Amino acid sequence: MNPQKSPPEDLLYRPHMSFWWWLQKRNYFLFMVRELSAVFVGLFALISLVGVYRLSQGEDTYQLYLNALQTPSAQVLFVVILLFSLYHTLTWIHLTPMIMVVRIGSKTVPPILVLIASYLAWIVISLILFYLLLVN
Amino acid sequence: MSTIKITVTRYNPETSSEPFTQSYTIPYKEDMVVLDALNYIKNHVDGTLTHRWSCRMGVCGSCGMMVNGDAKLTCATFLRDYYPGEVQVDPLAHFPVIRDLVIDMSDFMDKLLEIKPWIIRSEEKPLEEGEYLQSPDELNLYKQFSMCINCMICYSACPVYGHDQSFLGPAAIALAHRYNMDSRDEGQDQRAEIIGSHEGIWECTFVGECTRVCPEHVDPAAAIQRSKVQLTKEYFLSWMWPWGN
Ligand code: FES
Repeated sequence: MNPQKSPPEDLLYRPHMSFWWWLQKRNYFLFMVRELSAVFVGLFALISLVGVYRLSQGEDTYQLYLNALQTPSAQVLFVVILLFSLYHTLTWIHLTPMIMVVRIGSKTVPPILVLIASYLAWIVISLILFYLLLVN
Repeated sequence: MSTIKITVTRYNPETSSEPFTQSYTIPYKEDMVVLDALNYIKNHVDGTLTHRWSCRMGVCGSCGMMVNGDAKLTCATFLRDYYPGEVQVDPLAHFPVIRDLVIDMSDFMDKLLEIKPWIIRSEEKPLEEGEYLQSPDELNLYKQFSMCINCMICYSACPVYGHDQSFLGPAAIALAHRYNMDSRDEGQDQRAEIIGSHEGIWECTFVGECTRVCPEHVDPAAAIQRSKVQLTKEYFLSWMWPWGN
């Protein structure tokens, strides 16, 4: 279809991407951190699922699980998970207005309002969960 | 007279199978752009230097190169932003090099054709009925994505394309989105086959660098993510509402 032809392959130089490409630019590195943060979010979900499973096995097993979560190494892990989860959440929220175009009638809602709404939703849902889990 | 050192990657398949670098020290003036420096070298120092350019005003999109590691339009990149430091010019990353700073763009040209970047109508209306009208609001839905000058700078900033050249890539998808968002267009289904394919939008991991480097502020990353949302919505709708519309 395309009339433009490439020169013969043996005349071309094909560059190769370095394995360390993600260290070459700050933005690439931050992207990798964002991808990595998903692992920690997943880890937290996994730990919580194990908790539910332990609970189904009876009170004693569940108590052992709770004790295991109190150990210093588990506490350190939770701080790391919290930091990565926060990073994951914040980057997610900040990318939302770029992806979500909200239209009311024939007008587009300004991206900044989408951002504010995302923050509000995050805070409200967090407060509800906080109330359900800790206060109740 | 002040001078600046420009280091250029050279490649000549007739003499060597590997690129090498060559440095030139040339007179420096505050209003010079990187392209001026390359033209100075070509005209006064070394006529064998090969590079691509045309408009010298950020319109044609042919002078994209790596300047100190960043993909830039060299006609819109001032030497003063680097002076008194040195400037290193390489061919656009991720593309095969033909000679010195000239890359082979046929891969992009093929992809551009694939997404059918023109208005598709299921039925053309007769000429007597006049033009297809569009409101300013409808225009605004796609205007930003229509500013692309096909400079391929987004491709050289995209690590996904760097890893796998079968990826349709930022500019082609942004242009597909531009036509999909056009109220006069009815070709979405035809383009969905290509942008929804394995080499299309799902390859994108949303690094977002395409958007940051785009000299025309096209925001290809947004176009790709929005296409993902759109296609996903249509997919689920077709399940929940198989009778279609
Ligand atoms: S020479 Fe045309 S965009 Fe730079």
